[in-house]
Amino acid sequence: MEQLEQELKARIIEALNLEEMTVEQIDSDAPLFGEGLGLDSIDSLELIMMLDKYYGIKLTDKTIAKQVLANVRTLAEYVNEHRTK
Amino acid sequence: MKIIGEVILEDKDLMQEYKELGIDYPKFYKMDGLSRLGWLATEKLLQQVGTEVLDSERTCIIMASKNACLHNNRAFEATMKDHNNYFPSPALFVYTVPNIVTGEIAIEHKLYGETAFYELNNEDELEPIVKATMATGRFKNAIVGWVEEGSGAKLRLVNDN
Repeated sequence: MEQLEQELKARIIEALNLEEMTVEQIDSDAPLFGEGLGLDSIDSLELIMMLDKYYGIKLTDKTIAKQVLANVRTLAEYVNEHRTK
Repeated sequence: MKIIGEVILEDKDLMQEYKELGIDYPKFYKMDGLSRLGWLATEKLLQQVGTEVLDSERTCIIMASKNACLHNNRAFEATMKDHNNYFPSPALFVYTVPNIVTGEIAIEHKLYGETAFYELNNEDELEPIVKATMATGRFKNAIVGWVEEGSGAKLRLVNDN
C-alpha cells in the first residue's frame, strides 16, 4: 500500500502541476482540499480524470468521491480495491 | 494618460522570477504560460509603483497579444486527440481563454474595474483601445500592456491625467 501511496503522490504532482513539490512533502493523512495541499474544485476533476486514466476507476458518485479524495491514504485504499488496470 | 510605472519582463526563467518576488501564491504553479507571464509582470509592476496608488473600484486591466493562450490550447487539444485514450484535462481547459490572466490579477488585488484580453496583430493596435477605455471617464487607473507567451510582457500602469 505504501508503494501505491508513493505512486499516487507522484501522479498528483504531475497531474496538478505542483512543481517544486516532492513526494516526500505530501503527508498521506493530510487533507487534499482546503488545508493540506489546498486543492480546489478543478483539481478534484483532474484527480478524477487521473483515476480513470491510470486505474480505470470512474468516480461518479459525489459523496463517494468526497470520501475517496479526502487524503492520499483514502485514495490509495480505494484504488487498491477498485482498480481495473 | 500619464504613465505611472512600466515593466518589461522576458519570458525566461519565470519560476526563478517568481521565487525572487518573495510572494507565496500557490496558484502560480497551476497557471498556463500566458497567465504566469502576465501575472508575474503585473506583480513586478505593482511592487514598483505600490498597490496604494490603485483605486480598486476604478482600476481596469487591459492586456493583449497576438497568440494569446495558443500554447495551452494546443496542450489541451493534445489531451483529446487519442479517442482510445480520451482524457481532456480540466486544469488545461481552465486556461483555454486568454482573459483568465486578467481575471486572476483582478481577483488577487481586488480590482473591480473591467478586465479584457484582446488578440491583436501588434502592440500599436492596443493603444487606441486603451485610450478609448480611459476616455469613458469610468477609470482612474489601468494596468495595460502586451503579454506574448514565448516572448515577454511589457506592462504599464497609467492614470487618467
